[in-house]
Amino acid sequence: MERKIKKEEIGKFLRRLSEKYEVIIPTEFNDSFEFRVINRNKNEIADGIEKFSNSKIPPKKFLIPESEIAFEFSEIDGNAIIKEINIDKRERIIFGIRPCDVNAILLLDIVKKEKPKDLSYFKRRERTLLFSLECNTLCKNSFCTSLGTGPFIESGADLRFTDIGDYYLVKALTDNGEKFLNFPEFENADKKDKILRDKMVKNIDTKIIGHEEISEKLEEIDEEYWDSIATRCIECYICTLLCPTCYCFNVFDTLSVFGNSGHRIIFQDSCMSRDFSRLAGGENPRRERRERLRNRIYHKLKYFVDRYGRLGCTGCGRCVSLCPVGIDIREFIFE
Amino acid sequence: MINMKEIEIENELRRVVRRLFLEKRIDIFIGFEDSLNGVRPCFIKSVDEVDRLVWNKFCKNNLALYLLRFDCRVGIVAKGCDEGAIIELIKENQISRENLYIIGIPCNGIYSEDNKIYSVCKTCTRRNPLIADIIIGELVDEKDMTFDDLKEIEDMPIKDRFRFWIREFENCILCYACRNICPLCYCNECYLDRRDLIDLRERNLSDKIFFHLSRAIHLAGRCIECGECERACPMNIKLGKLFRKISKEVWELFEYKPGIGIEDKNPLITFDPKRDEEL
Amino acid sequence: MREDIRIVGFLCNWCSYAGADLAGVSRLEYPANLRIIRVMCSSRVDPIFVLKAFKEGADGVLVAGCRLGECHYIEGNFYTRRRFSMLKRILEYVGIEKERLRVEWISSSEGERFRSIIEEMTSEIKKLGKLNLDKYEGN
Repeated sequence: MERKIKKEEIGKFLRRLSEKYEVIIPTEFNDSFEFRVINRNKNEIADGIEKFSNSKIPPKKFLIPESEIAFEFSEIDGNAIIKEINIDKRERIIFGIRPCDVNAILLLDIVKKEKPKDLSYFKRRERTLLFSLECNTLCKNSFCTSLGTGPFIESGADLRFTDIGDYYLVKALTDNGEKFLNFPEFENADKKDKILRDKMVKNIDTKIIGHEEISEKLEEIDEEYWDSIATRCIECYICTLLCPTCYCFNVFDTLSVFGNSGHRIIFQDSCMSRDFSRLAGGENPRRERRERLRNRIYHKLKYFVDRYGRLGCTGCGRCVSLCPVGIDIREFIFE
Repeated sequence: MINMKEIEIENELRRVVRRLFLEKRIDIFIGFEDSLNGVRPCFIKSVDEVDRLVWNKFCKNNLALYLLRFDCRVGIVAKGCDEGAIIELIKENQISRENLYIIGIPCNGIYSEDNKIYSVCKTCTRRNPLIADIIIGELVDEKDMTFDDLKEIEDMPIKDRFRFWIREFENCILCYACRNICPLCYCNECYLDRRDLIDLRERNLSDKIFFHLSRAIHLAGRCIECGECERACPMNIKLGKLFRKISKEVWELFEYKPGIGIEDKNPLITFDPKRDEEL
Repeated sequence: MREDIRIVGFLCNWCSYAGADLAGVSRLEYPANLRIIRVMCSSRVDPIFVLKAFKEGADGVLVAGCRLGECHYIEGNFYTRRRFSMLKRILEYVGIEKERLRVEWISSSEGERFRSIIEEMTSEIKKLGKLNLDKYEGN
């Protein structure tokens, strides 16, 4: 059953949610939006959501933190004791997350489920609800329409909001989402409202490119092309840190001065870093910039397909917009 | 409205580069090309590729960055700020003038994709080429030097200033784009790569402040205010305001501006006992 | 984490460190908030060392060298003077009070002067309070 909510009521709805949940919404700062926990002291909670296209830092930061202490270990009387650091147990809701980012999280779910299952990721994932906001206009440089990952979504999020003018049309896509439809701010949606959305969906030029087609095309690219792109690349970490599907990490153990206790830190790393693939003996299979760039593109467009049967890219367009030297993953998909 | 001058400059540029290749005076040419994503740097290796070259007011990258990657004879198209970087690199013995063919183009400012001029361009004082082998386009008027754009921050009380900068640096994700795109940050062993100084595991705010202040002080007297760092930053941190302050202090203390005279010496590696009395 | 303020001092081996030593030998008392790091010349001090000190929790930094014209390496302290005049202005621009960085020229015979500089600096920094680069009030 579909419901709808007046746009002016969204603030009330979010405030009501924030009584029981930690609510995360796109918050305006310096001409752009970032996903932040709601500031209940503000009068206008969902201020400016109309202007929101997408954040620069993807919402995966709430599931994969920049760095976290996985556990503490210590030795007492010859026994090893491992203590998990109490992570927050609160449930939270990410409101306003775009379909491309929802699909990215679904991809991360698949990866993290592989043995050994990433337990701390799922501890966070299980207490996170996704209230997706579909897009009325395509973001600059995004290509979700060609990958089938946006701007509309039929599964994966818990609640789906669609801007149909004065209202948001709301549909629950999971059982967890259903229980929110009883909130007082919602009204029943009628056929007219649903038709408005159906029209929007039809209007999108969805020429979806098959993932196998893309990964086969990759093989045809010659050395010289990789070289020309790699010479431009400046080896920063922008594409990896701001990609909603990137998950590379590094692990480090620290030891106390006495050597009998410490903790393990898991932190974000980037495959574009020169020493990412450096081995203990000093050998580095991907020392050259060209090799790392090629590896990254292959990972997103081929290795993911080989391993999981789908593309590792959801077409959000962040890497394209934010790369300082104009390296464009779309060139590998469309040409 | 298309700027007719731009098209003429572009055509002349292609003519010159074609000649350079035919006369075998360069092995590679660094310029700009068009793409899905806008204007971006490109590397031309033969006369057949010359028509890829473009020139317009969106050519924002500082191509001097790429000079350090080539050992052969290189041709390059340079705006005022790019030339400044080239001069500094020559001064610091990182590249040699003999292997370089510079095509200088006087510049009135570079625009972002939504047609807004970049803030560093508003205060630029070196719009015309100084050491180019050939100049394409008409010389433009130079603006007077001013640092008024910094007044807003300088006039804040100290606690507000601190808060302002903390708010900016808080957003830093330590992507290293600002350092990697700076043509003058070429040290093979950079302090900022040292894990005992910048801890990527913890990413504390103090590490981020340290990162930017260190870069600023190491570029004192060397930063040519091309604005690339500010443009590259994905979080739009106001790096221009920080590096312009450095330039202002170098100017006020030592009356020195980098990227102008190839014989000028950086004041921070020299001293003048009489003059420094005031410090 | 002690609540007391901490000052890091980079003292040049030939003059200012000797001056500090003389203060010690003469049993002159000064606040114990100072941590001394000996360098061969004040021009060895890269501004990054000062920034690192602040980052790691120092609330004040002192860079001391020989008196101008008396540098053991002839011209080292002239470079120091230029470098730190730059750094002081940048620190102030970013909101770190310029009293937190102090550059002094202390000769090896100035034990009493060393003592009074440290005492003065300690009370100044105590007034300014701890410099906490990791936190600030606000959202």
